[in-house]
Amino acid sequence: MTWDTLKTYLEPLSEGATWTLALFFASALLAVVVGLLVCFARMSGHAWLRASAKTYIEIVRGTPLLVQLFFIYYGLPELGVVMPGFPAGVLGLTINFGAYLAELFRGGIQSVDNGQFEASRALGLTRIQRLRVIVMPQALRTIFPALGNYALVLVKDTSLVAVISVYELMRAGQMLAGATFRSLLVYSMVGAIYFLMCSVLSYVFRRIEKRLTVPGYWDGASEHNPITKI
Amino acid sequence: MQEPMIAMKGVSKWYGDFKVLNGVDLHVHTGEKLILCGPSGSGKSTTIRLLNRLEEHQEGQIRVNGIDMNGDIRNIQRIRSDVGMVFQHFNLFPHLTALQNCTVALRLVKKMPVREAEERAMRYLERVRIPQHAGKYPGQLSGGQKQRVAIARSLCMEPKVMLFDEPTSALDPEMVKEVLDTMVQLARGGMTMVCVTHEMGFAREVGDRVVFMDHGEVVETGKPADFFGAPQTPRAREFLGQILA
Repeated sequence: MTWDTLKTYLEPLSEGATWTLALFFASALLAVVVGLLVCFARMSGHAWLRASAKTYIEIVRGTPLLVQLFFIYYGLPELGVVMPGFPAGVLGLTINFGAYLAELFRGGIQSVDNGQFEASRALGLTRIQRLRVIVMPQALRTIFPALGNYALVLVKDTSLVAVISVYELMRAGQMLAGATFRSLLVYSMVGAIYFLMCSVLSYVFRRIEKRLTVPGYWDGASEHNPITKI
Repeated sequence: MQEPMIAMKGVSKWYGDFKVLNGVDLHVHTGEKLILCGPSGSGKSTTIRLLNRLEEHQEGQIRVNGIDMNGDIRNIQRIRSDVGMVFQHFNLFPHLTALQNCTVALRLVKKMPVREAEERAMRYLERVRIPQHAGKYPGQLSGGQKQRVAIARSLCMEPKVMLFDEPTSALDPEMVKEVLDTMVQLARGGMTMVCVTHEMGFAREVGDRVVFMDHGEVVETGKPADFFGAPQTPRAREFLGQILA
């Protein structure tokens, strides 16, 4: 094995990684939007909206992502809905993570003290202002560590869309391994690239979490820390 | 005669089957300081929470500053802009500094430019004597300081009425005085106030009238000196006996 071999291998793998990143960013963005909408529906005053949101969440969380991807890519064409692999992959990941994020957001919103709602109502803030300026910023701080988890899981779960023939890092690895018979080397490289992406993302989340920290609240060193406090 | 600032007529409220308020009549005139007291569960907190629609009543009529409290969202918004409220547990926004706590509603509700909002906020933080803590977060303040920020936050909206819902009950004893002093000063400035409190000293000093409630009803009304000195009803006597014991 030479440096040149590595370089020739790296070329298709980095192209695959670019597509992995595209899958990640597209699905992450859409999943946050879907998650917020479903969360609001789940908490809405309309019973039918709540029921639909609940049903969606239960179905998605109760079935494997792999099955969902097969359903979209191989199943839906029978109903006349045909789409290329990439959008099918983004759709599957969005639907899947949207359900989990909806519940995460709901937990965050419900963790905000009732007094916060009352004070903002008493001050005359509208419902949307209350949510945007008072509730969401506090909920975000509460759920942030868990949000980071989901982001990492999403990066790795994009590898599943390889099975619906989307060209991304995992698929690029499979093709390369098939052509070279160097599975050990190729999958080590593939794993290393996922690890690198996750490390960067994890670092970014740590930085943002630090920036969101408010003195006297949600700061790990404070007296509110139930783990360090004797 | 001028219409009272607050007029409640035959107000009743239920939580499910349980009647928490039973035909409450209450008037507060402009500039008047009303003290609401009574045992736990008597409906005193519920009563003042009706005055800015944190709770809804099912029967009777409530008018605040001449505006009818009905389901109309515009009326509710108008009433809320006339009514400030201070809570037992402060309810400061923990992710905003003391100054931002004061400016947030000015910016969003009154659409005031940042600079102007901050100037006004600083004025009120000075009035409650904590301008030096403007840049701190609630988590960095003591209970008494938090409650004074909460009072400043309400005053920033320049309300016509201030509601206090047991403002000193969650405070350590040594911090009660600084909050009461702030309230006394506010009272002397002519503010119309409705205070749910058991602070007898405060009630005697600034209260114009004491309203004693029990089981969702107004049981007795009187001047503080009369009420605390010679309560007329057995229930009021029993209550005073318990809190003074």
